[in-house]
Amino acid sequence: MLPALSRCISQVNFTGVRGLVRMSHSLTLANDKRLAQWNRAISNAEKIVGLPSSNFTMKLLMSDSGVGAGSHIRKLLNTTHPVIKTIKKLIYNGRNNLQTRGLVILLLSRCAGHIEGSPQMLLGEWEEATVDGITERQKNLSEIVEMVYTSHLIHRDVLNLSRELITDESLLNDLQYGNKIAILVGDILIANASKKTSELNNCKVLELIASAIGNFMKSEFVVRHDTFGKPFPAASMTSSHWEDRIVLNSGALLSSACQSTVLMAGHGDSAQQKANEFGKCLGLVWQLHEELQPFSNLIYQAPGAPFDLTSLPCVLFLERNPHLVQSLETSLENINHIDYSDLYTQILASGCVEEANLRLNSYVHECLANLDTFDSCYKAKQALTDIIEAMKHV
Amino acid sequence: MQRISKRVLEVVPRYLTDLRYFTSIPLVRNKDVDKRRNSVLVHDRAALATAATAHPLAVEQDDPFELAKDDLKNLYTDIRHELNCGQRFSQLEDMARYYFDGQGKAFRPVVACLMGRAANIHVQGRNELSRGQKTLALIAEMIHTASLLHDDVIDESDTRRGKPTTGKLWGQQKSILAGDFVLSKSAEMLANIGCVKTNNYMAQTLVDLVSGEFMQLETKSEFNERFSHYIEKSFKKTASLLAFTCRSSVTLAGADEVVIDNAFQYGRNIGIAFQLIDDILDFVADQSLLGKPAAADLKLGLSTGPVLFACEEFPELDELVNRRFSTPGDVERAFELVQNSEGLERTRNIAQAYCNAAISSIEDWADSPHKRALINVTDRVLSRSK
Repeated sequence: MLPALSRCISQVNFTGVRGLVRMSHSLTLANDKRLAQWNRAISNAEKIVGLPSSNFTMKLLMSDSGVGAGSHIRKLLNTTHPVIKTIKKLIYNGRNNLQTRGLVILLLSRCAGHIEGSPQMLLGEWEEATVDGITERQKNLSEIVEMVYTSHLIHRDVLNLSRELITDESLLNDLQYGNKIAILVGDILIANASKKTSELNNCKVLELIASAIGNFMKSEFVVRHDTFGKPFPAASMTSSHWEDRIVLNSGALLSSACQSTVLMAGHGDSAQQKANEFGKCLGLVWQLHEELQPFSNLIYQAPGAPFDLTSLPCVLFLERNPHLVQSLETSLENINHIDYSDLYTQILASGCVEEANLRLNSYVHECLANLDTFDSCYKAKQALTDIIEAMKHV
Repeated sequence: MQRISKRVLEVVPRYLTDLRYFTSIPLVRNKDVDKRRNSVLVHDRAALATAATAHPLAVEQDDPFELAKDDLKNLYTDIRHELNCGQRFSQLEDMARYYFDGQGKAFRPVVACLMGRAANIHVQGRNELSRGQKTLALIAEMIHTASLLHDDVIDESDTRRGKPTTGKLWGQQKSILAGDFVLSKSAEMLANIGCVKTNNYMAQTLVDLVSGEFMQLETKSEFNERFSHYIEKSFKKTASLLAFTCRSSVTLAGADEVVIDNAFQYGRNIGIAFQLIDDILDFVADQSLLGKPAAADLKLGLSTGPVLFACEEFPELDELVNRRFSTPGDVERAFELVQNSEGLERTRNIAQAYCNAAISSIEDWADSPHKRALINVTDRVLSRSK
């Protein structure tokens, strides 16, 4: 039972935060170049919009006072619960990089600019915008986006546990404690994100963010899950199902947030629609870029290591080979039966990775097209374009 | 003058002064209070009946659940409708709707509707409930249920209201996501009411709910500290939702700050009383009524009011509280000691005091059947057996 569990746990991680920090693990020259391009784009962008003014999320997670979860998280550190890896990555990312989803919101805010005298803008915001290029509310929104995203990652780490599944009493206790903390930490983030969203004093924005959270949850219900809660492809999963799911997942949050930020800057319906589309495409770019990592970065993928069976290259491959879906089906109850090494080789040889890469490039194209009309700030637009281009396949 | 009152405060145990701060009424720690309780209520009712010249209605017509019935006849249908997600998400839909099966007490929606109407009568002289106020009643029930979905996983419960929990049926991970989903839907409904103040109030209850949950993980070592910690936790976990729902509903009525605060105090006091009684019921021997096992709190390591009071009579309980009843036999021993102590009675007295405070917070409002029903709610809280 034990090896099976640890394997599953590593898989849950695998589908958990696939942070861009992982790119630093690559050793090849091509990847070094790509990493350098990415880092340049990010640090350039940070220079333009500035570093985050507050570190609210970190305070919530690490402080011992108030609702701080610090002491509880520290107790968890020695356990094998997957949420620990998620939190560690978050801390690492949070201290070294302005989190990138928030960064994108700030850049878009600059690109779109502000409409003087619009009733959507609050008293004094025009002044904030002229001095800083971004209003306080927009800064808060960028933080909300990170909080919502993180809370979702953390809640997704909750494991399905039962005495039948885990016979080792002390392991079960550890994992149950981990579940408890994962739930509460996710709840802290989602509750405070809701509070911060309501403080933006705009009902439409609250509605947009709330519906994004709802869609996030829906996205978890369109795929099946194996006994441990790891996503498992449905028998009839097609690439269009894949797209639907990602639009609900990373797409919904970014599209809602992008629309919200231009709305709060006083823009009308058509600009809001463009921003919404931009966010949706960006979500697809982001997700597909990450899903392609195990297939385009060979050193990073250990031989025989499990990968996400619901990632686009795999879905495309299964779509072409329906007979394999049948044999996977029998592995649903016991994922140890899956020969990842064999499946991986077959996917690489099938041309599905190339097809997914073409798809990625078309998303990038669509994304940039929606950015076209937003040109209040040349530098911000260049920085945003660079970030998106850095995720493109070359 | 100030010096004297300060000295008085030093003599009175701290939890009592805390309570006075909360309720602004004197507390009686006398054993006779319980016996007098009924006569006090009868007296209050009689006083109210004489005051109620504008709407001379018999007391039985002010039954809170009867009065709110019309406003809430579609409560569960409406909530289930809001949680509609379509064929593709039928599992999520089933999970999100699972506890909206009509078996709940709907205590929060009842209070929300009565409060809305009582405030509308007081402020505008109109006996009606606005759409936004009605939506608030739904939202209150949804936030409560979302928190149950999470609590059941945290507490590793297998049953609730006599049926298996969602975690038992669909797994813990999906239960958490379904809880988040219910929450997100309630936030969308809130946004649609279109009042930024209300958005703020209801979001605060979410923050309070999770802080309360974290407070539950801590154990304080000193009695006074324990007791105020316990009351604060009860506010955050239970009363905050009622308090802010009342505040929101009255805000939508267009009331001034004083009336809005009255409503908040009513919700806060009734909420704390509700939780205190809940904690007493955990020690009731016959559990068939409750649909949950006895001493559930003790098993979770939680020291509620009855235990904290029993500690004063049986200092040996102290150690058990500090180790959160983790040694085999602790739960049984604590259960027995609480039964042999005045803990249950003293907790009930405090609940009574909170109920009185709830009544006095709305006493200046214009008389109406709904206001009287709000007063009668306190009686229901104190006498409830499930």
